[in-house]
Amino acid sequence: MRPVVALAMLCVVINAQSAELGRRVFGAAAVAEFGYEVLHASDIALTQAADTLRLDWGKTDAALSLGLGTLAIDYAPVSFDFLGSALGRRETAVSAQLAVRHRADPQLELRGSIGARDGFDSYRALWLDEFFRQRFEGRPGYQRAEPWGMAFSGGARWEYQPASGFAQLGYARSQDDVAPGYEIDFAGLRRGAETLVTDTVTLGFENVPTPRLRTRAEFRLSTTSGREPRYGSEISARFSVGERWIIRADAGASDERPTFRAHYGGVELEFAATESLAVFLGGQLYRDTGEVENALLFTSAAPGLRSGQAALGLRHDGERLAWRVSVGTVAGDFAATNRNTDFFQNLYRDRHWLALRAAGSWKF
Amino acid sequence: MKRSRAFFALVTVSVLVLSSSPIRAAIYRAGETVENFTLTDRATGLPVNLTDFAGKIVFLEWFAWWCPFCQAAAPQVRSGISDYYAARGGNPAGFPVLHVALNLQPGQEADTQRFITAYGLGLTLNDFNRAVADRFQPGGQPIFAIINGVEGSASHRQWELIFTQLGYASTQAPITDFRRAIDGIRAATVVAPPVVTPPLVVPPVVTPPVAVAAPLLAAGPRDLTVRPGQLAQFFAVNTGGTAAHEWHRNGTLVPGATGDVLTLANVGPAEAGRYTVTLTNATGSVTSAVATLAVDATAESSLANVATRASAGTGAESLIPGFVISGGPKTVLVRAAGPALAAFGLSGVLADPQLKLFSGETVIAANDDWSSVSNAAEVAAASARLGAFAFAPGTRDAALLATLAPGSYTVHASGAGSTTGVALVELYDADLPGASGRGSFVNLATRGFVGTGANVMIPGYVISGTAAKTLLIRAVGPALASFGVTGILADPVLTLFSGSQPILGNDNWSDAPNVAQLRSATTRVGAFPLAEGSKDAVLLVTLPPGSYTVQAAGAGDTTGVALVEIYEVP
Repeated sequence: MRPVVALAMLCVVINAQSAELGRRVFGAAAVAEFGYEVLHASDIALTQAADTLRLDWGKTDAALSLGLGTLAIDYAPVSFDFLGSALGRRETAVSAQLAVRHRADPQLELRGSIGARDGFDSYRALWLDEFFRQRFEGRPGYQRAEPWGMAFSGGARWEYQPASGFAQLGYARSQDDVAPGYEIDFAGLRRGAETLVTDTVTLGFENVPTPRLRTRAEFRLSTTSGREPRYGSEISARFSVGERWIIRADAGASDERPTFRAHYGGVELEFAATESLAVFLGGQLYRDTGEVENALLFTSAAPGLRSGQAALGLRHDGERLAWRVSVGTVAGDFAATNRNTDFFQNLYRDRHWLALRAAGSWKF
Repeated sequence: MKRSRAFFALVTVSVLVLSSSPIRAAIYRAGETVENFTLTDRATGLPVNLTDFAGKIVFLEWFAWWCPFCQAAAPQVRSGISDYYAARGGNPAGFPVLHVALNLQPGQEADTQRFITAYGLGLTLNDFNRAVADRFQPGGQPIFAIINGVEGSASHRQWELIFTQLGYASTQAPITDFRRAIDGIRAATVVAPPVVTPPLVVPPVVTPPVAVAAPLLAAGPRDLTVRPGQLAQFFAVNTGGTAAHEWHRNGTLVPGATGDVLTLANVGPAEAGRYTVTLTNATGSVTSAVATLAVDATAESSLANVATRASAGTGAESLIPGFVISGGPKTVLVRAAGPALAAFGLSGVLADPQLKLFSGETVIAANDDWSSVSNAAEVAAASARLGAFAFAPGTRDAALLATLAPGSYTVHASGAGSTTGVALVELYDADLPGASGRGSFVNLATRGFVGTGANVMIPGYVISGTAAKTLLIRAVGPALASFGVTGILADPVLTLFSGSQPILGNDNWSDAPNVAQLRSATTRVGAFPLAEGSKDAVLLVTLPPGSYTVQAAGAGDTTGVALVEIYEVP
């Protein structure tokens, strides 16, 4: 929270002093962005803050982002877990990323990024880490998890039709040292995979077939260590109705052998109350068949999930200042598992989340 | 002495030969009869047999403390099976349901105990190396098995496997499945006896004349040397017709001595002399050879050897002899004979027995192959000195030679590498002759299942030295109930053998003519008291040096768990 506030204050001060401060300091048009998100359920609280400084030198722009996340869980073992005990656990995760875009010619833009993260990347990872810690800490073979990761990406965006047709090809690789799972038997304790490498290739198309319609389609292929390739696709559209209404819609699907399927779709309706202020209301439905089980002794894979979310928000676009806030709710409904034996039924229980999101940017 | 020990060993092996049967290794399927097995009770270290649970529906649950599905199952089985049927007094037919937990994980005692405590497990046996588990479900855990221990059920045979299952996650309603199997064991149908119409004319009953056989003295009194104040006994074993007994000392009738046992308490010089017994009935009379009773304050004797037949599986699936040393350190020779038994014509022997000597729950000595240890020569020499039959060099029989402090010990014999078979576990007093300050065996005990026929329990003992030894021998059945033992032998009967000859017996200790002496001896040796009027069996006997066996059987061919104890009475 503190970095967000500090950067926001800095931006305000900078904005107040000079609109051209960015050019004088950096020799480039500058934009400071911040984003803040809170997800709160009865036993889990997540926050994520990100500050970005974007500099534009004309042909080249760069964005440096710093992120800070907190994960707080009220860990609760199942009643038959005699090795577990309830406790609260809080972790922080920090991240940094540098992204660069360079317009090689009017039709071709090259992109690249590099980033790193230190800390748990999800409350699920933290929950599982606590589960294994309580069971096995102090036993030969157990090591305290110190998850971190790094990633880089590269790609190109080609404007094959001026202002109306774009194609984008990207490649990304991430390497994550995760909190591993464990299995134990008569031979003792064994750690699961600690390092996961994911390669992702994306191919996207963005078109403006009419002045009121913008569409986008993306196809994605990713491979992760020890798993089958995952295919994904997504289409989205932005459609203007009259002068004040905008409809955004998206739909997507993912598939991983042998059993994972996911589908989702959403709609957002935005009404421009004034030239600079808009109200939006949106919702999204998501459904999957559950993670592919890569269990060792027993599975910690998530069962099938159905979720829905809705959000109501305001958006302001000023000459130099823009912001967007929303409040929403997310309801997750996991498929039933064998409650007789499911050690993760408290992790994968149905939850209702309160979601607060805020984002803003200043040009200076 | 050596000859008597060798003879004793041969007798014991003969019993083994008669009772041995090949070990099946096949996996049980529902509907098959489960063979008896023996595992160790974690709480007491004593062996427990499946047949101990006769009269009950046995719910077996194998676990390892770290196994998540075992953790998931344990509390649900407790509430859904153990508590459920306890509250209802058994299954719908009224048969009690006994939950037995079986621990698969050797070592890691603290974790295992934590599991047991957390889930409130009751009777817990150790099944290390999956000796029994693999007969039901090879590999994996938890394993569940439901066995009908009820004799005379209308629906299932006794010891029939009703249900077995590997894992707990495979079904959404495991407890329901378990209950369905348990509730399906039904009581026997009561059939009204047929009505028999009596004949109109009752033929006269003619009693044929009874020919009375002459008395036949199968075993008479033997020479006896006792210390002053000791109890002395002479025995007369009559295998002929019923006869009156007259005992004579130095040719003079001993007043009031008309039984088959002449008991002389608090013996002094006045009782010393030459004794005979005369058996007389209408057909004839027989007089025994003279037996001399000597009183010698310097005479010594001790319990020198105990041997127990054991059907040993892997782990601790065997009978487990226990012993107590008192008065000073003692060198003991412990042997587990397997391959060596083949020389006696025994089949199905344990190919590679292992020995572990426990003090409490601590292993203080162990051996696999007797000749592989550094003191193999000493073991061989001790065996020869003590009259034990020799192990051939390089065989996989196991032996231990150890000097032990006074205390209580148990011997566990099991098969190496998951082998199974029959073994003979022997315990010898290996103190060198004349050694001073040495202790003695004051209590030898064997707990196990008492069957019928050749499966009655027959521990064997050897008394060495020059003096007679007064022993309190008990076959405890009903009294075990107060220790939480189930499936007890309701009415044990004790028979003491010298060689193959029975010389003394007892059914119910309270009915014994020397019941006051039995009470006194029980107190003196520190044995736990038996309830007045109980059907436990007790003998107080003074025996000259030699080898003896004690046969414990159930009255009326009943079966169950019994503890056979032998105490040295000071």
